Amino acid sequence: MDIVWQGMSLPMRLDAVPEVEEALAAAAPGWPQRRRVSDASTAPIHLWRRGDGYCQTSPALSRSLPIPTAASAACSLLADLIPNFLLEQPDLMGLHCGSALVGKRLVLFPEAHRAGKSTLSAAFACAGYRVFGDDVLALDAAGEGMALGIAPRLRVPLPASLPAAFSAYVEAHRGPGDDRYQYLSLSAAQLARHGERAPVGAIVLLEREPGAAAELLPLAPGDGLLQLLCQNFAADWPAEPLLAPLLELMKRVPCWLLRYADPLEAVDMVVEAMRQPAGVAALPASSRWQVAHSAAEVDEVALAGRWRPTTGWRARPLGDELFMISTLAERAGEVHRLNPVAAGIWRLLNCEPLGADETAGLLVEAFPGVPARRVAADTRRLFAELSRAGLIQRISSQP
Amino acid sequence: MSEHEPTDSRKGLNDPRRRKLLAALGLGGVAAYVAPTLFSLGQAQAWHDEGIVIEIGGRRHRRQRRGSYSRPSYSRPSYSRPSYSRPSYSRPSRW
Repeated sequence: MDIVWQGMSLPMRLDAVPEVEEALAAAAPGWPQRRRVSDASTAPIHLWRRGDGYCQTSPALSRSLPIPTAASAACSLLADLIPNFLLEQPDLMGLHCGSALVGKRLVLFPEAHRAGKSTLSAAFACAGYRVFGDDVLALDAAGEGMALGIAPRLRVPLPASLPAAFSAYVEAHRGPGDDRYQYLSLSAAQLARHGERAPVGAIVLLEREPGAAAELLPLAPGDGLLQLLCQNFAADWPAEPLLAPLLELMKRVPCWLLRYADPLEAVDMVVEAMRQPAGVAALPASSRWQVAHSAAEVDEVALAGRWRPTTGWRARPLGDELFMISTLAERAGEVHRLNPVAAGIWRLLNCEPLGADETAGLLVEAFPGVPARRVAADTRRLFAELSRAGLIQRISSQP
Repeated sequence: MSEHEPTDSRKGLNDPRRRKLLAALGLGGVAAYVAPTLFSLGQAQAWHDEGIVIEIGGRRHRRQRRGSYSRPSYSRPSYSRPSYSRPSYSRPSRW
């Protein structure tokens, strides 16, 4: 039997494994598929019974993959379905995120594996909201999110710390599962169908912290952009087409950090913020990401002289920050983020080549009261980083 | 350089070149000094390896170490390229 999914020409061949067909249909209940009798051709994505389990081949697998259960087989086949679908839909960018509809807008939580996307997606469903996905959302050219129609998949056993209401909801909505994974069986009202679209309303970065009361904090738009740049499946997209739609998105939607322990409490907090026109923008003090290990080595001798920006970079502003995209083939794909003060220094060097110390002196004038020694050290470190990244070059060894 | 040198803002105001440079900085909308930073997208992997620190309203929080991007042994060849850390479509990770 071959399964042909809407939007994907490459069929999946399943050899006499009706329990896998059933699990697959239940794992992706919103994605239309049709079945046809296999012909004599070979099928790149192929699953058959072997021993007590199954075996699968795929162009994405270096060798055949043994699989123990029907639920895991469905999971593995979906891991082939999604990238092949996106490959055939060049106008769609796959984002690695959970997503749910609040009002008429989507809240997206782009995160890495095991960060809580699936649990929070399930919590949105539990709270009565429509889930667009727990792992992948397609973003179209207009900046709208498009559901794929795949049910949330939770790791089991669920942590004992989860609220009883949540655990009961999961138990009452058991879909295909085994001793490691559990798909949720959601109704058409709870799970968006394949192709359903909605505008993005907010980007939420997740931080689970045991025992913490739910807290929603505003982040800089650049934080959201950076997260989206890291959590997408457009691996073969050039930097500019990849960055442009995400940058436009981050210009119009807020980015928040959600710290929480109880996912249902977290949902309430996000929903409340989504309902307020100003979101959580009124909360005090913006925030910033800092790399814990970012202290660059500063070679005082190498930093001497005046510096100017190198060519081959396109600066894209987002709020007070700049995202620098390489336009050079040899630096293809390089993207750097300059925070507001670094962006100011970049503008300054575009105005006139300067040394690090004179630049620091200007910053001290701009921020009177900040210790000059601290500003000088910060500025030297930035110059070293800019030089290392190929963003600036020395034009004179004289100050 | 002394702790607060230079602090004479009149020097800047009286010097057309420095006035021009201060204008070029364009930091009028930035309320408080924050150390200038460059963050390269390739550092994303380091986030996940070492964690990052977030500072909100003067409070510093280390974000929890995330799950790694490491693939299971049979996982698909790659959805990554050198300078980006990218997610993969996860298959069950061990049997």
